[in-house]
Amino acid sequence: MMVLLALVVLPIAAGFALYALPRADRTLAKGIATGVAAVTFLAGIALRDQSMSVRWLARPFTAAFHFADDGIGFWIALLLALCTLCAVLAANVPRLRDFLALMLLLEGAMMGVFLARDLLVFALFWDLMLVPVFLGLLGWGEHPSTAWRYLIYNFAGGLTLLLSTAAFGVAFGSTDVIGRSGLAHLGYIWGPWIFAGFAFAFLVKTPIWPLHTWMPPTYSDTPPPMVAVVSAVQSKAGLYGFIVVGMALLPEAMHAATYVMLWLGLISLLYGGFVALVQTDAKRIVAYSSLSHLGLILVAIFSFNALALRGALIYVIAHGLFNAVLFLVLGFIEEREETRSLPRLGGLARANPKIAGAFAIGALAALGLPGLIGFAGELIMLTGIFSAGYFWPALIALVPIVLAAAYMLRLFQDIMQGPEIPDVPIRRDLTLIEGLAVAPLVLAMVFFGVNPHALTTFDTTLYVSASELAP
Amino acid sequence: MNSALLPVSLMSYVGLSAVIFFIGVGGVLLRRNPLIILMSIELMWNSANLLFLAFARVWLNNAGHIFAFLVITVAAAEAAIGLAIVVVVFRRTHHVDVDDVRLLKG
Amino acid sequence: MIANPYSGADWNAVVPLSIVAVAALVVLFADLVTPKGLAKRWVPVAISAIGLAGAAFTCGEGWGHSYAAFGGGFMVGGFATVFQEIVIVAALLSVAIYAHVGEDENFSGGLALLLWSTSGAMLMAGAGSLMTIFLGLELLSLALYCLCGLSPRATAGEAALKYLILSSAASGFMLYGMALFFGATGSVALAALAGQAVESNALFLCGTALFLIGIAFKLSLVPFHVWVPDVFQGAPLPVTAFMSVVTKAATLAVFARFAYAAVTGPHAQAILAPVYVIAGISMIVGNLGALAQTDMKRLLAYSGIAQVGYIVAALAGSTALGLRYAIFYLAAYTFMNIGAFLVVALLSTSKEEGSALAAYRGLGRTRPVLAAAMVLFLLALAGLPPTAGFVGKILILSANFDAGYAWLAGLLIAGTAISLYVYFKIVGLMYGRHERPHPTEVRPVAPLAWAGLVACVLFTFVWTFDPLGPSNVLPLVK
Repeated sequence: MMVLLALVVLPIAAGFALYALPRADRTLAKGIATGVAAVTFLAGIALRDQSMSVRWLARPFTAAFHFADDGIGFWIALLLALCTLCAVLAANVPRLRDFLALMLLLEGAMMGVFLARDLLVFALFWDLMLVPVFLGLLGWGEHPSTAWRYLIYNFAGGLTLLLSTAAFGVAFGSTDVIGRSGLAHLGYIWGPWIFAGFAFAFLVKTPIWPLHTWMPPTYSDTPPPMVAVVSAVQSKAGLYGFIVVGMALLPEAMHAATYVMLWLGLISLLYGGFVALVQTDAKRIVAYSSLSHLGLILVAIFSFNALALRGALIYVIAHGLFNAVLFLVLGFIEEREETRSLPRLGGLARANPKIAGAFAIGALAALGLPGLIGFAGELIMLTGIFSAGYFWPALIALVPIVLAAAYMLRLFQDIMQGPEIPDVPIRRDLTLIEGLAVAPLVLAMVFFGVNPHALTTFDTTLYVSASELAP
Repeated sequence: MNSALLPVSLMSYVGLSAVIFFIGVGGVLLRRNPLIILMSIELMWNSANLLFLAFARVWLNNAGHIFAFLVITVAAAEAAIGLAIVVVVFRRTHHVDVDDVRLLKG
Repeated sequence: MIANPYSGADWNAVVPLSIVAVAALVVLFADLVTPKGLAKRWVPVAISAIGLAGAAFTCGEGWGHSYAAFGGGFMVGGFATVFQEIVIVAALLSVAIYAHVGEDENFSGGLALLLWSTSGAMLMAGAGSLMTIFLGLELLSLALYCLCGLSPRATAGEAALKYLILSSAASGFMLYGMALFFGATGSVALAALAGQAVESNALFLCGTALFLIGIAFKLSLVPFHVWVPDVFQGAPLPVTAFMSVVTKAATLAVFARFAYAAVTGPHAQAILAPVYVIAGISMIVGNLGALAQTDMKRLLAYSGIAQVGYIVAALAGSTALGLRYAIFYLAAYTFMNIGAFLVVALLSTSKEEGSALAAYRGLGRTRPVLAAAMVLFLLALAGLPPTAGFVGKILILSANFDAGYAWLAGLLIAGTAISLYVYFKIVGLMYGRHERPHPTEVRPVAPLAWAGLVACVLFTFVWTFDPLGPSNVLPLVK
């Protein structure tokens, strides 16, 4: 109970409290924010078999502020706490106090999404997490239009989620259902429509082609610490939703959508991979590679296979870790060189070996080097997809793995190797705080890379068998 | 309902009041002078009064009479306020035509 | 010698609104005797606040004691009480705005009119017969015509004239409809319309059409909404805030009573369907209209058209839950909408009202607290968490699904999607990094307005977690 409160309420309360600090005192704001994020992370580690529930609505359907952790939510919440801690440590932007406050608000809202056991609470936090990102884009982004694009896409998704939640509540009588399965079927009139609303929201949030167009500008415009959290964790909300809402609660509709979703996932992973090859903006390369990786996870989820699902969860964590590392390091580079355009960068490895090292580990994990966490996830997912009988999708899914090697190595090469750009003065290497910000993520990648099954403590049968019950 | 109590048929009353009502509506929609519009509104209200009186007689229920008195009283207050506002606008612009009242985008 | 047909209980029923009406007289008398200076402003405000608080208290006494006073002309009990309390709260908050931005000239007069208007709205909330509906409506409207014209600004007279003409014409429609109802049943009681076989009666059907046109006009539903933005922009700020809630709340009370208690036959839903259709259209048109606005009062006028569409939509199907949720949303709307107006009031300078959108540029940096409060109200109006607006929308959506009006739920979502741009445009102005702050004048501290703002923030926030729909409402409607 206390642990859950600490996870959800503490960051939000602390976020508001930060506004009471003096505006100019950057160290104090950062110290407090880091402390709060650290406490949240510790609470995340202590989070095991916790549950709390406070009644909210009795009519027209029952709803409760019900929070608990299951295997999936636990790991994503822990990932979120870790990423936020690292991002807060790494943050170095103007008006730091306000920015850190938004980061903590974002953390609290997302915690709510991943720990909620009630669909209505899930929808509440889902909509809530838009606001800090929107304000962050407005206040620190380069173009206001990006903020608008982000908001319009995601709010449209949020609204269909809301509509479906209300319909689900009326049809089923309760929204306190996440983490349960084998519920009474909603029937053929309600089910598909409700699922369509949820699916739209999840596809936008992930994002999946063709709803992804908000994502590359958002990822390249948002300040690096925030985009590290958004790309690492917020993008997982959609996939998490497919698992805990789609698979467990609406299995028939989920099955009926299999082919559409497989196609969308395959298109995303190919499209993202090829576009990442030709980009010259370093952050956009990582953004499109995200599109590709997330498409792969979608395919794994929709193959309805316990192994693939396990792989998907490992890869969700993996993608969060290496994306956070890549964006944080790209942020350090951009801060020093004041550009992120590949033609204007080069040869940084000689002057800044630590930055290069951190970046290399992130990039290698992203391209699936054995021993790092990305490899394990990809391998298990592909095996699962294959054993589910989807031969061609599994084969197509191999393509972006090859592509990932190509664009990640190109990215590394263009930034870190080759001739140094002459007019650039020598920049300082990774500072201690920046190093501290990246180190936990890198350690986690290595640790779970050699021991991926530590992540799969959750009971896949809850989801897969529920979906197999469907015709 | 007892129509025999009326020397003139009920339909005549209803028809007359409907005609007056729509003359009033037409006046509100078509005329431009606020004073005439106010008069048209009075027509609309009083056509309702006529109807109240006719039905009061038919139903032998004097609630209709009371309602008509109520409407007359309120209409007097409304006319007073209406004229006052017309005067306020007139003082400011020195002519009154609802088409010229266009500081607001409308 | 005629015996007095009415008992003490009948007179007790109208005590709350009499207190408000008498408070208005006291305000006027007090104005004569108070010396010039600061007391000229604070004495009338204090009297009004005390009067309204007293009315709220006595009105609360009637909760749960259902009683049809004056032979059914005026109802006391849950339903009427809730609407009366909403009206009183809105009036109190408007008085807070008035105390801050009201013109010195005619200060007490304006306040007295505001109170009379409130008592008219309270009469409408409890009206059980056509006569009381009409009387309440006209008391509300006549005072508002004057209030609109009170300000010395050039636009005020124009707003008053426009409002007077269109509103009186709408009253004419309603009145003619009432005359036809009287013809159909031979009684002025609303309850007489129910239970009789009047549904196929041509008089009843024509009357319903005309009556509902009048209602739609007062509720500012499309296509009877064109007057709203002009009147809202032209009227003084406190009056705009007052009208945006009180007129709608009082008319909604009449409509709800009509829909639930008077139209009860087998074709009831078919007869009321046009209202729900235009409520759905209002959600879209209101938000589309708000897109292009550059003035906060006009913007809130258009958004109010959409908001009232949401509330009316909750009544679709005449379900008990729908009524409950409509009342909840109305109460939440009272706080979030007047809250937004309070922010406008606190931004007003002595020369101009803070209603131009340009005044919000960079507000996040210059007035962080006001900006944060505004964000909360805008989130609530947009139906985003963590606000009462979010819960209210969920409840309305589920009421629609429950009653089989899924298309209204769809329209509601579409309207909300449009409204997002409207509200977040202001957030963008306040927090955008490229927005140059608007020069602001430091105004004297306004304790009452700030207190109102805090109350609005609290209710908007706390009701997210405890949306206790006023219980025991429906049994008392009839």
